Amino acid sequence: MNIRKLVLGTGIAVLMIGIHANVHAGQMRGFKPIATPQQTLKDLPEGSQVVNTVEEVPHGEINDAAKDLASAWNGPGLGNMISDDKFDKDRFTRSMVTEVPRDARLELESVRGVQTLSQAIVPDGKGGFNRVSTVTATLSTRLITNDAQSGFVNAPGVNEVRFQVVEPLR
Amino acid sequence: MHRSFFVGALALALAGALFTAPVIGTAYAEETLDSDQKILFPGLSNAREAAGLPPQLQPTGERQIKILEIENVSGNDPFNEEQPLLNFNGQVVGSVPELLATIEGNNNDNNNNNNGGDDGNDNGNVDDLICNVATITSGVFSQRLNDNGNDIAQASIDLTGATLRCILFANAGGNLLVINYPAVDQSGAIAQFDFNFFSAFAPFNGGFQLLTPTQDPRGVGINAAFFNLGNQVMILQETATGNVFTVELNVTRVAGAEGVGQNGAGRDVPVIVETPVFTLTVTRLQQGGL
Repeated sequence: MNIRKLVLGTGIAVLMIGIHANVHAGQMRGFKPIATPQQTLKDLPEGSQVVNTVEEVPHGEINDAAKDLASAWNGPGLGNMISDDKFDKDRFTRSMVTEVPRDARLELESVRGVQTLSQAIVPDGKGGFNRVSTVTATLSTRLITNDAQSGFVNAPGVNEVRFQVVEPLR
Repeated sequence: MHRSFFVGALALALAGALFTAPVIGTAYAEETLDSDQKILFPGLSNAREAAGLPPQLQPTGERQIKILEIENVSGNDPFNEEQPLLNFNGQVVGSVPELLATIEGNNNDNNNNNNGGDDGNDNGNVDDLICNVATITSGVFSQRLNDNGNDIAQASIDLTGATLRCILFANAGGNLLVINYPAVDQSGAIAQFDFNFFSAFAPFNGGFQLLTPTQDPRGVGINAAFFNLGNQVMILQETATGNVFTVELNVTRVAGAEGVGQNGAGRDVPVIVETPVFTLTVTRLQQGGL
């Protein structure tokens, strides 16, 4: 009799452990897939090749790009500094015209956490190749404008920006 | 004796060759080419060198850097697709005072709270909503192929988000009301464009239903109505919440020339041959009754 209870109890315990493990396995599936060359290639044009050893894009160039970006914000050259692959680019450029006062400007306070996330050799469509890198940086900015009713407006912000760096190869 | 010996040896050698060949062949087939140790295409690298280029592709150093994606960590996102200025901590607000209040952290009421504290979620009280601009000029023309190439000017009103922001568009992009000018009167035997009228409709996917006026007998469509130029009043209901909105607006003709064309039956009908233009002015937009 005691042996039967022991076997039954052990069986229930094993079952419970199994259910518990399944619950955790289910939760794990919600995580983002681990970045692999195959995963990265899915978003690139045909004929692209992910590089094995990523060469860091110089931080100074990203700092300069961030400065240029802040200077160009609310100006005519801003559209050229945004990749065509950016989500809703047209909507953003339209909003800049219709929603932002002409005197509004963006001041760059700091650039930090510059890191090259991925790099690939991508055909340029003209028989050559480009090295395309995705670089992330955290920008601290301050949007400044003057409102006719409320006066001076000063809106600070911290944003993680992903840059697309295209470098032709010869 | 000798002959049979040679024949036997030859047969044995042939059989041995037949058995070993697949094994040797498979071994070669599975050998991986190692590009680090062997030049795979020597002719190609020679061609690059002959052209004065290095044997491998080299970066030129001429980098073009563009923004690909922005994720707001905190505060203002100056690259917000909808509202680059009036946003803070992921929340889009309706006005500069609201933005300042949000920045200062004392914005306890996210709705337009400019009419004595009405929270904007009830139908009993009245809450004025302010559009980004009062007047907009129609700037987009759609050619209706089934109407002999006539042009129709469009403008629209958008009412989106928890903050109930009102935006006027110079196209049909708004979700509350879309204005078509001139209107096509479909009540007669022949559909006629008429510069004295405009039509207004609530888009099917916009989330609003036109309550007043109800469907027009001149047949401009469901959830649509036919109006004289000038001042008009319309009442719409948000399907999801049941909230009612009253829109007072003015449509004024600015340009557009009439000509004569032919309908599908080959009869002459008045048509608009030049691009029509109108202005849309929202004189009042309220949540609740007038």
